[in-house]
Amino acid sequence: MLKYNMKMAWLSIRRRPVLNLLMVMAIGIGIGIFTAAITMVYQGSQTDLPHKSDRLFLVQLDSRNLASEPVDNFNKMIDMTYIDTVNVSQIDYPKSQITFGWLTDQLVNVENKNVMPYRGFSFVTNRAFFSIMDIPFLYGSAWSQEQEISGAPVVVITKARNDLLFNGENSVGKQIRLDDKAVTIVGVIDEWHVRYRFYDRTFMKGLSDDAYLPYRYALDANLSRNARFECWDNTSMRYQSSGTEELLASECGWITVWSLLDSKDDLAEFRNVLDDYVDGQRASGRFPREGGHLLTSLDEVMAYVHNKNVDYQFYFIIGSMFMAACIFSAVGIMLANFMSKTREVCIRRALGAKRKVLIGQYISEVAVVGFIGGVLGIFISFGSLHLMKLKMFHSVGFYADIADLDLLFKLDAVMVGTGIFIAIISSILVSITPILRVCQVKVSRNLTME
Amino acid sequence: MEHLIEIKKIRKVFKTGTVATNALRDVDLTINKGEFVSIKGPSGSGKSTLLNIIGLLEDYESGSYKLDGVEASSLNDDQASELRNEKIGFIFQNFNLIAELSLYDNIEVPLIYRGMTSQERKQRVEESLRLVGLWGRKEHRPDQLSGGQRQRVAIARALAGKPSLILADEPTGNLDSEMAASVMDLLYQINEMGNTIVMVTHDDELASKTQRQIQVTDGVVKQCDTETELLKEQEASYA
Repeated sequence: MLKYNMKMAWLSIRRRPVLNLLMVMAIGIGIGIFTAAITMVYQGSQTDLPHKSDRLFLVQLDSRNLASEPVDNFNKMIDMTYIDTVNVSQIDYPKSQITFGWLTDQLVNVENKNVMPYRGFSFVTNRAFFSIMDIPFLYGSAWSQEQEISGAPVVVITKARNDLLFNGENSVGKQIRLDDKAVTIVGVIDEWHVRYRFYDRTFMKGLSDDAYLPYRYALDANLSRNARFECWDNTSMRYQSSGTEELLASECGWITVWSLLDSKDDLAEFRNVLDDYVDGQRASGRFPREGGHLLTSLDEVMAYVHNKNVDYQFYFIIGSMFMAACIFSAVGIMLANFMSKTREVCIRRALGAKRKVLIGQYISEVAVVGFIGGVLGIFISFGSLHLMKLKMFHSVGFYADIADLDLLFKLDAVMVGTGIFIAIISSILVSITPILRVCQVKVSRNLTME
Repeated sequence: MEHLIEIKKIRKVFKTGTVATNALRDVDLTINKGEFVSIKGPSGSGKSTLLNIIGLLEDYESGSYKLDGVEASSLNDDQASELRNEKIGFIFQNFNLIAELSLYDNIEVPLIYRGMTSQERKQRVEESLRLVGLWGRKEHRPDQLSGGQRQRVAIARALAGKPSLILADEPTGNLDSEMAASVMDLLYQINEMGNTIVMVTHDDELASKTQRQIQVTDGVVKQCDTETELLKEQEASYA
């Protein structure tokens, strides 16, 4: 019966092309805008590294003085000092891997005269960053442990920058200049993007790194920092744009620290480890406040960020209203379509069709119309999302890489399926009253009419 | 003779607002298997209502109607549809073919609802279309045929399900005399094959060629076995 229903649906669509085209367009436009809106909401509410986001923790230690304001969530908490960052990363707790970092920016230059120097962003970090963040390599690898400790002038660059600077060729072993300092490329990472730049707590969309530098080198070379910087010893503020041994020993926080636990069940144990560390520091005169540390999983961090994101709620409301208007107009089209089938319904009833069989047949027909409308809607949605991506790309400025925005506007299989499913269901819902109505008509009166 | 249709004391009333019109009054009618019966009467006399009741397309206020031994009033909508599909074939004055379907697909419709396999359907459709001489045009649509050919398709559709009863409502009403004669020849041929046919017609000549003529006047049925009796009834009804 399904095969027959599909055949009848196709013939009916061909028979009434204008009405069905109007219906397909109404559904397509409604679904297109709605799917674009829910895609932005859906993708914007996804958390990167979902397979480990419940055991990747933002680590924050509160060594501030007693006069500082109380803090109850990660967003108001300070970043880590260099002292605590080094100490925590050296704690002997094998169930945790520690990475940390901060943003810098320099003028990037290469020997190739065809490439103009440009200001690029580098993330200063340790070598564990690449494995913890699941970053794939196209050429080479992360710097070695020895290079990290010795502060070797090495760099890992992104595929996009490798394409720009070296036409995509393997650039491992070549040099680039960051301001006036030459660094040697040891690795080129493959495509790697996150929806929000969570790892340095900026949560920016579309801000990509150009390069990754080992932290010891960045400090030795006194590279400028482009990160939030807070000191609770006012005299230390002079270190904000320079790096000296005094800075490293100061109570100024600018480093974002993450711990990847082997299992989320290790959290309580890791808290105890940090408690012990804070108690030890307290004994030497630091950490005058109660508490002392804050551990926030990536899931919790992103949940907080998503709740603050009102743009997407607005898009969702607009998309829903637009779809409601389109579906409402489709009711009239469907009513006209099915009222024109009155005679056919009566013929089929006279020939022995049960009412429920006919209802099933016509529901199949509108499901086909809904499917076609849904497919059209997906194309409209795809175009709408591309336009929204371009808008955001231009609004975030010159430093954006459009590929970094792909994840936020990606129409994936889940969204395509959802869009088509909603198109079919809404087509059936708007048609059910006309279908029931036409299947209730008095057969004998309509068949004897001339 | 075995009865196919047994109608006793059937009453049918149409209500429009507060106005009630008696369409059929205590109708008694029996039709045997294999008969070719014509129903005559002036417009509004109730003959089409009677045909609709026989075709299970209309319910009635009181009385009893048995089709091949099954009491119609005991059937729900689905059961009535099943019985109609199995026992009755319809031929309408305006053909009532489905415009977007080919001849093949039109004839297949009642067979689909009977749940026949594709192979069975093909065999039945071919038999029926060959009988009316239109197998070669099975992929054509109704609007590509003449009126007479369309009525032949309607007859083929009525026959395809091998029903016990064929109900024909003015089957030649929209045809010229030559086409009408051709269609009637086909109906006689079908009747000779053993099918029971009940035909509503205005045409005295066509009615005279059926085995039995029934006159309906103001919702009352008079069964006339001879043409003389029928003429008397007709005169009375128009007086």
